[in-house]
Amino acid sequence: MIVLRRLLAPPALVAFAAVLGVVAVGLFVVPPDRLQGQVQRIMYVHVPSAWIAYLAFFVTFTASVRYLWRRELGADRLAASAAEVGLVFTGVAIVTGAIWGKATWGIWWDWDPRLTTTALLFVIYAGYILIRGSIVDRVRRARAGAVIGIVGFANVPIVHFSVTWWRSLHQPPTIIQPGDPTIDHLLLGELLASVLAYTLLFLYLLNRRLELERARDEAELALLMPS
Amino acid sequence: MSDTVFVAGAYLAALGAIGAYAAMLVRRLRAARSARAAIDVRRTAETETRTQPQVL
Repeated sequence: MIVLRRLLAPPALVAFAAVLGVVAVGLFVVPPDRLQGQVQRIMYVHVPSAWIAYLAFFVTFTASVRYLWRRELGADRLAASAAEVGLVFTGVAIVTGAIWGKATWGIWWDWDPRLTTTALLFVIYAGYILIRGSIVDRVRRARAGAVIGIVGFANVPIVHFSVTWWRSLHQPPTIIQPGDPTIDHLLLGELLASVLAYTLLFLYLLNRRLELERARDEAELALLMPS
Repeated sequence: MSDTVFVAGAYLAALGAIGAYAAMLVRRLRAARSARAAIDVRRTAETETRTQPQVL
């Protein structure tokens, strides 16, 4: 139990050291891709960012279901915290994807199914945060957040499968697909290590954001309590 | 633009954004905690003012 708790709440040093480690390996140790050359190294930051966004919005989804079911404010705090961290990583995935796109396709942006649905994902969770911020009543805020957190998650599988459902500029899934991954095993190893390191960083950020949400709730409660 | 510029740009943008967010989280957490402490201090002061004997 203690081991699990430690894994779910990694210290800042461990999380940042893990990310810096995979960045160093991704930039200077693994060989470049045979076709794309050096720009393929963007994959080690772009793919983990997209993965973290999916993971964060999944946490928001499950915590929102739990809030509506059990009415626990703790679940609502988790949902709100994960949504904000997920939004940051969605932004990182979009920006790194645009840079990668310019280097390989020659354009920063295209209204391609994957890019469009990812932009929509960003807008949905930015809206989630804005709507939560505009509702003063704590219970109404949690309820509205839970509904958006559940409905908004429907877009995540659409983003993932957009490259197989529609004709897309974006390449099809490399790892989460039927059959063996077609990527070289050395590059795959670095990609999986990057996903793991960014997951640690996500857990660290999520825990800090959760503390912030708790501190805000305590302050709000202290204001409401009769002195 | 060379490949190196694209790679460096992508990594700087990603790590910069994540690092800035982490720093902002720490600042927001400190602000929320001091807001809570300020409320507590004010509450204690109000309670003491009400419970202390007052001289006319």
